[in-house]
Amino acid sequence: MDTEIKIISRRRKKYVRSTNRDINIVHRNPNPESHPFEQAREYKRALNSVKMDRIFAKPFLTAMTGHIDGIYCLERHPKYLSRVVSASADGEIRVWDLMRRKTVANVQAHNQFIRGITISKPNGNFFFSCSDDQTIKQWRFSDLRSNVNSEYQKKKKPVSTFISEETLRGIDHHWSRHTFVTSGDTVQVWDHKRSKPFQKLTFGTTETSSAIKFSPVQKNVFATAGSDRSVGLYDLKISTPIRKVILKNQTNAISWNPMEAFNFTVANEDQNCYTFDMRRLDRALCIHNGHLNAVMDVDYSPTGREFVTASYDHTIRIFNIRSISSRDVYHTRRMKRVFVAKYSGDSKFIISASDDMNIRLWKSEASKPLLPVDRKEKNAIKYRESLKKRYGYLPEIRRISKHRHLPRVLYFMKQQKKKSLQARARKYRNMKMNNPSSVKQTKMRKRFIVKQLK
Amino acid sequence: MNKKNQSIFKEEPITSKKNKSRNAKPIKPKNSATKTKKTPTKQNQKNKNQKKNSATKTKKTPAKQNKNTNNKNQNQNNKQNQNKNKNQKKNVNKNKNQNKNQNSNQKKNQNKNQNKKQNQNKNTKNKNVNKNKNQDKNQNQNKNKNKNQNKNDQPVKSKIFATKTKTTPTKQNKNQNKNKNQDQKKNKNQSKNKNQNKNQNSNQKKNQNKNQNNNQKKNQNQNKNQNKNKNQNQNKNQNKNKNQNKNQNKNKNKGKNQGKNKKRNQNKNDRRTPRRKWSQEKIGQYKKFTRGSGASTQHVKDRKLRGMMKSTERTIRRGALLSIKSSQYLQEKPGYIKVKNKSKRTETITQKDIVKNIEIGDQYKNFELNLRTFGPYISEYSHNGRFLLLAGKKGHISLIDWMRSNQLTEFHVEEQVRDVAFLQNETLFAVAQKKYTYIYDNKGMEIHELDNHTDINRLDFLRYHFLLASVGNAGIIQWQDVSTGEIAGKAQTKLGPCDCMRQNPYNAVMLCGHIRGVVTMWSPSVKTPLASMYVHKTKVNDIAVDRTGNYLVTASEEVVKVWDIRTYKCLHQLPYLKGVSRTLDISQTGMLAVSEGSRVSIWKDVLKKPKSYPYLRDSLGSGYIERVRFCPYEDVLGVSHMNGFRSLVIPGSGDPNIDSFEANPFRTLKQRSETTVKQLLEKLDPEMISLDPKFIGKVDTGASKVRNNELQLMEKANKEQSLERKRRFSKFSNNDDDDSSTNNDQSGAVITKKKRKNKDKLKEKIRKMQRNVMDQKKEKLINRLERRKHRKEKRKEKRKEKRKNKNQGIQKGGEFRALNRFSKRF
Repeated sequence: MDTEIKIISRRRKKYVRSTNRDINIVHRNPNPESHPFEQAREYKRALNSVKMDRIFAKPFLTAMTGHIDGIYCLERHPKYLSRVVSASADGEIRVWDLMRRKTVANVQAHNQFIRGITISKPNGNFFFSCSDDQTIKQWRFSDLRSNVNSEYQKKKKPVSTFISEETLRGIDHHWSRHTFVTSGDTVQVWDHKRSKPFQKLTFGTTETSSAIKFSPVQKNVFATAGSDRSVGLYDLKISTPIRKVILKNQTNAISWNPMEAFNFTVANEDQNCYTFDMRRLDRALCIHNGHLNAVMDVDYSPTGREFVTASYDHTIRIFNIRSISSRDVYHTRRMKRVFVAKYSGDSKFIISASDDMNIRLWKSEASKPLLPVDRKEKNAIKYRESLKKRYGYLPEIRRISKHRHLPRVLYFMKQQKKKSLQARARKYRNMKMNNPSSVKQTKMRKRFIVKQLK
Repeated sequence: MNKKNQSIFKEEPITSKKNKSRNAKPIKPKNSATKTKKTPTKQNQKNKNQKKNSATKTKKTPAKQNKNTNNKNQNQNNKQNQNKNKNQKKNVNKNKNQNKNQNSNQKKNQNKNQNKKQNQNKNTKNKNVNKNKNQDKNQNQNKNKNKNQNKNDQPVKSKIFATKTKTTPTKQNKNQNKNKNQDQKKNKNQSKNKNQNKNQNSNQKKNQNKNQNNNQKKNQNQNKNQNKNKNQNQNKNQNKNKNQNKNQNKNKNKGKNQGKNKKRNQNKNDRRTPRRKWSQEKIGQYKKFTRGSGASTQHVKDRKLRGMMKSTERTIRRGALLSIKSSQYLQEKPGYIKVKNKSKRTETITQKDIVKNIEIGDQYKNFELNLRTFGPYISEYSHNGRFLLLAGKKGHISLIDWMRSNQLTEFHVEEQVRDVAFLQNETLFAVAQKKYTYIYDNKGMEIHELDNHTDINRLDFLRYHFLLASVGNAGIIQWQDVSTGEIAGKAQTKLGPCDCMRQNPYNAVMLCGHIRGVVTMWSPSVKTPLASMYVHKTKVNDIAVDRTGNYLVTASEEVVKVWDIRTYKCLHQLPYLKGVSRTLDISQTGMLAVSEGSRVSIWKDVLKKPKSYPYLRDSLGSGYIERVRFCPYEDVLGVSHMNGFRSLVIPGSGDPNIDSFEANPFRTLKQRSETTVKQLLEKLDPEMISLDPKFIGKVDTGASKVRNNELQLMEKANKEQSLERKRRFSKFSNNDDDDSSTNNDQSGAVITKKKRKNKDKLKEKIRKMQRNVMDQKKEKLINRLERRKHRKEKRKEKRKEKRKNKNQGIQKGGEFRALNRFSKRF
């Protein structure tokens, strides 16, 4: 034969599975010519996945009842993922198991408002509660573990009680040592074994501080928020306050970034959160806005990439640490003013406690599946994520992905706020144009700061 | 060949010819009902004889023809070479080696040809066998060495020569003798090497061609760089031939020149990216997979953005490399025809020859259906190539799984049928009938009557948009969304009745060919054509666009033209056609099938450059071809004609590698339903159809341009308006005043006062005051002005100082300390 001829001949075996139990054989051809309308189809896929995200966004998991008064304190256990301690205004403390969604233990700890609880971080066996009755009580978890019985309740006694000479507004435990600090008229430093504070720290003025938080990285540093609208930094080692900044409004809560040692975020009364660099308090690294009423609490995710805020406007918001606007808003009809919101230890859940005597459990990613996903689905999710990232800037996709439903009242409030902000900006612009000398030019990131003290 | 015939259809009028079906068991032929290849009609017999004759003739005649022409060519080449060689002798040219190599290659090919001839004679004369063997050995050696010498350029050239050189042995010898003399002269210096080559020479001497000897010697000398030939080699190595240099570098003996060369080479290599080392094919693939050059990040000032862009570019590049790798592991290779006798055109190969040469399992792909009653047939393949929809113009429709020779449905609509089109999969298809268009399912049940589409001549389905496009005698092009039933677009072509429409598979734009010789392009969202091309002087019979969307082929009476859609320019037209070309089709690999009355010709690689003769041909013998369609993902061409359907095997026409998620001929019913759901989810909007399908996600630079233009126009208009007003006003109020100004106005020039550049209130105030009088106010103002100047100067000085300090500070702060990372520089 003087010619050699070959044509395409496909063996059925190569293309069709031999039995019904096999996986279907898949052939891929990367040649772009065999995939027409690549861009358009990818765009469509991105659009679909964004829509699906919105459809499957069901973040609310459960509400746990038990408290008879509003819950104002909540702390997650440093070792056990499912353990949470909460305290309400009537002086009751409850220990929760998130897995079973139940109260594991409870105790009537104080007769008055409990202002703060903290779990001893080195071992996690104890927790402390401080109250308006000027006492700090140390509790052992194992003592409380029993069924909720009124007779037995009386037997539940604290390991030790510390009596303070001053009012107590907040408490936090050191991350490695057996010391804890309380805020009040002065900052008091306590030891487990001593009945009286071994150190008292002040800036020399008569302010009372409320929130107090140790840095998880630089363990001797802690920050307080004072009633004189200040945020102050202290160092246990040098036993003096480091520096302090006074803002225009009062700060309600402080949270340190566990991954970026210098950065912390404060929840402010003026509806914003401010992220600060510890070394320089005269301007914020980032302003996070979105809430429509005072922000009551802020807590960083253990990953250090996001934080959750609880607000007086009945909502929880999740922020990326670098972004101005929030990534997500959670609300339900029955949830009232939220006073505490905390990330779970694995950063998958958010626990919130509110006025309405309930503790609520949320997913931190609204549309992510909770159950374990198989490899195929995982890949599909990955693919969808990358598509969303790629086409996220296109207007339609952006609109859908950013859209969040807000309750009617909040929606109008939001618009009002927007209007008022716009008006203010316009006024500022006009003043700048017409009477430049009257306008003091300050950057947005410095505008809310009154002064910095050292 | 065992040809077992099987009737596909039970009914009488439709008969079939099949070579062998793979899966179905063979059934004994019903001679009464079927007319098979074994019992051909007289016409067929005649044709066969003709074919045979022609085939036998063609074996001889073209050779004769070629002899003369090729000899001429060769002579010319040789003359050229002679001249060059002379030059070489005088000056040690840099091109020496190249010429030599050319010569050597020429001779090699000559030798090859000789070999072939001898091989042909093998059967008759066994005497030459030994000689042939020796020759083969020598040739192998030659080949290896030549490969070493010239990897890049020479093989291509040799191919060209291969096609040209076929001569009678006597004339060859003459030419060779000429060459011989020259080469011998050259080889005088090299003759010292003979000792080493003795053995080889002894073998070669047995051969009558002494040229081979010389060539071999030369090659050996060049490659081995023997000590005695050092000087010669050094001179030769001045050539830019890289491979030679590489060989040199490997050798330990280096002259000074060689050293320099090496350095040069190294420098070049340093400058170049590793891509340089890639083969041309790989570079092409890389370009294809990166989908064009990436965005340049140099001019992006935003560091964050730049970083992001860079990282995306990196991922794209990585992806391209990965897909190159994965495409190396693709399962199937494309089909081909290799003719060992280089002078023989593939054109002469008949379907019979092809069928003989392919595997038995694939022979079923060549078959014929004799369907005489329901007259000229049209055919359409499903997008995965597995199903065939046949429609007779007189109303007969059948849906066939042609790969398994299984008929899914067959029915008669008892009406004229003008066109058919598959919808999203083989379960649904649309049929343009006498008045309305109907949709049927794979059981033959009528699902819809589309009374919007009346009097339709052509149908087409846009798979990714779910749009059924139609055009008819009313000259209205219409798109209907098949999933929702909405009419996505409707436009009047205003060019009379239209019976020619195809889609551009690259961008889903519909192309219509009109009676006036115009081709128009349509998108459902635009009421006017996106583009129109004046293509032929007479009616456009058919059009086809290739898969890349770059080339358009149009057919009119006896002219077939190839166009570049990107430039809207005609590239060339097919050289000659033997009849009226009614239909066209372009395969996935870019082959073009053109009908010429009762014949069909298939052209390979014709889109990019003109060809003088086709790749393959086939003819019906009588009648005319109504439609040709390439089967996707198969090497098959479906030719439907007056009396039925013929499936031709065209090696290399289909895309060998399927993508299961794109088009899978082996898909199961479950997979089919799943893909349909996905298809529906990913349905593209009709608004997305535009000439550039990649516009999504791009920055719309056009919009800003348009906006700017509009603004400019507005400004112009406003100025004109104001000028007009002025004119009117001046006329109305005082005609006598300001003649000059009105003149200016009439001339259209815009009068504007020169604005003072720096409007300064203080200065203005001073200026407004009387010049001669110096009062207190003026003094004050002047003082203030002076003070301000002073302040400005001071500020400038301060700034300068600051800058100086800054620079110094940076120098100081620039020192690296271990603790610096903890303190941000503010």
